[in-house]
Amino acid sequence: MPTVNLAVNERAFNEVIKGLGKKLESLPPFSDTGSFGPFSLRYDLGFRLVDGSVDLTNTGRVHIDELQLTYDPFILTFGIDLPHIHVGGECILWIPIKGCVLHLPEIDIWGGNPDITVPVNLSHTIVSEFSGEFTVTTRKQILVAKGTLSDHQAHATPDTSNEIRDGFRTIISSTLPFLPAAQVNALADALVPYVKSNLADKWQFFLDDVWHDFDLIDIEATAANILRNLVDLIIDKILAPVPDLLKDIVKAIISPIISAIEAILDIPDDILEWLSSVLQTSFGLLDVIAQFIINFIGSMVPFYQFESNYPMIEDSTGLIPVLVPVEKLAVAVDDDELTVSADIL
Amino acid sequence: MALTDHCDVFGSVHEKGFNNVVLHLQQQRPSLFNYGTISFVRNRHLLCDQAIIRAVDPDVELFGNPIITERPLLSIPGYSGPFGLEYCFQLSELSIDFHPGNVHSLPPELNPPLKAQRFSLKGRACAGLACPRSEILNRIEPQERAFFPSFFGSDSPIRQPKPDREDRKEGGEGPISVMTPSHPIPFDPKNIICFCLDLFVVLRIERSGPSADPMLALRLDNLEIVDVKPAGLEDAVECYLKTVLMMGVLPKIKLALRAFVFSIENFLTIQPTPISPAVPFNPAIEQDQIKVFINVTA
Repeated sequence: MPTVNLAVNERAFNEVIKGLGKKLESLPPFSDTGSFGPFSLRYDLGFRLVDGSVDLTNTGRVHIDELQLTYDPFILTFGIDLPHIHVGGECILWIPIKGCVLHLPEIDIWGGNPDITVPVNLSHTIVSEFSGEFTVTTRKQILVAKGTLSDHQAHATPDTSNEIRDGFRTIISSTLPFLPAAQVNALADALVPYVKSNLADKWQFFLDDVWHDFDLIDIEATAANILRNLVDLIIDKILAPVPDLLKDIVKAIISPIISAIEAILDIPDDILEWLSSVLQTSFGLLDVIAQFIINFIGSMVPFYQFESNYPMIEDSTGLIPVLVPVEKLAVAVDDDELTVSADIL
Repeated sequence: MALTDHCDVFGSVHEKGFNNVVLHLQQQRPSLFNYGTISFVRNRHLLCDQAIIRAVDPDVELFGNPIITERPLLSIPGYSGPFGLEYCFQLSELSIDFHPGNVHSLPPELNPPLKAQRFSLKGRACAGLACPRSEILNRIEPQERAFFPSFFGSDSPIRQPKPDREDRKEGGEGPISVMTPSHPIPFDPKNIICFCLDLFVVLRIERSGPSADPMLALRLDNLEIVDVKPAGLEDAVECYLKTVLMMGVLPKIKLALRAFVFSIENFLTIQPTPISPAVPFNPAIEQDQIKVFINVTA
């Protein structure tokens, strides 16, 4: 039995997602304005997490299921600034000593900026969706450069070798054989700082993107939202004199119908995601490219690493740190929970 | 059965983990466990428990870290000269044993086996006194003036001879001046008197305080110092230690449970799982582990 166990169940992951949704809701909308000559565009953009869950599977994968993000508010305001026209103001009666006593009336045309604005309210209409499956693997990094150094010496010695860089170069050039050597070297050099530190052995956690499906605009959910907004608008207009409670009841009756339509529209996407899960690959050019990049970089750069002789007590007075060996680090996922276990030797 | 059947996050640490950490601490920070006066610092082979010294990580010396924390010489009551006694003190064999007990062989006084939800701590304290030979003591003993007691007052018809100038006490009854010893009394390395005491403590974690603001407290079940003679001395020392622990130490290490409630930017709360029939103890001490159950709420 491992000496240290940490297990997190599905509910905890879903609570984290729910919490993230709350956090997103609490953020003030982002706003900015851009001018392009006489034209301008202002956006007000907020995020709402409307759906999605995490499902732990017996295949050892963490399944993120239809994480849907809608944009609320999402208001685009197009503006045109027309040339300012100023008419009038000339003096029509001038008396010596007194000066001008009568002016023509002044008229300003298109004096504002912008003069014409067209707001497009897309709030709670467009939906982005993300689904995918990931695995987490662990690996121990042992540098040859450590040589015969003791654990404390390795901890205190910065890695000045080129071992990690050379390893990355080999991986990059074998994965992308068409890449010129200069590009290979530049890419390896860019990734090295994320991994390199001292000469101590390290446990590293790597993320593997088994498949994912990201739709910037999820057609089915967006269509359902448009339909829902339209139905709400019609009900509000037709039943304007009716009390709100009654309108809400009508909306509640119609809502499952819209949800059913959404579910039917979503069937092709669900089938695609199921196929992705079975074949362990993403579909769609962008998703395939993204999966390749995530896994390519993810195979070299861990998302977390720590020294396998873990410095449990550091000291600034010159005493050596207390290094505690951590071995047999493992991450396991089953239908119930994600477990991280290790042995303290 | 899943580890998180009754909570969202589960954490456990086996007693082996704790004991290995203590062992590494002992090996890599030996100065926390070995104390001695100057001669012991310079000659660590004189320390009583050599096993702990042999186990010191070679990196400690490589990095010039101390193995023994130097202590001042032991002053001699009644003597105010520069000499002091040399001694050493070591703590070793520190370990923990979570229920069921299988690391420690508890002494019969602690009614083994270890009861449910209990854990025992064991430690060995070794001390050594560098006992100087009588000839050395005779050689360095202070040459005090002879005491000239005055038996009769000046009104008494009985007369005493007047004290010599050097026997006369000058300055009257002044305060006792105590000099910090600076010179170790020379000793024969073969004449270091060592003794070790094994101490066992049985503890449990208890929830106490009001239900609205519960706290975790460590409760002492029992304590035993092994084989101190005479039995009365052992009982008295144990009673004293028990009182110190219960009155002076354990009440200070109560932990308010709300200190373990964490809120991440007000959108996620992480807190200990409440006690229920499914989770009767939190933390639980069972299966040689300490287990912690945590809930996560958005």
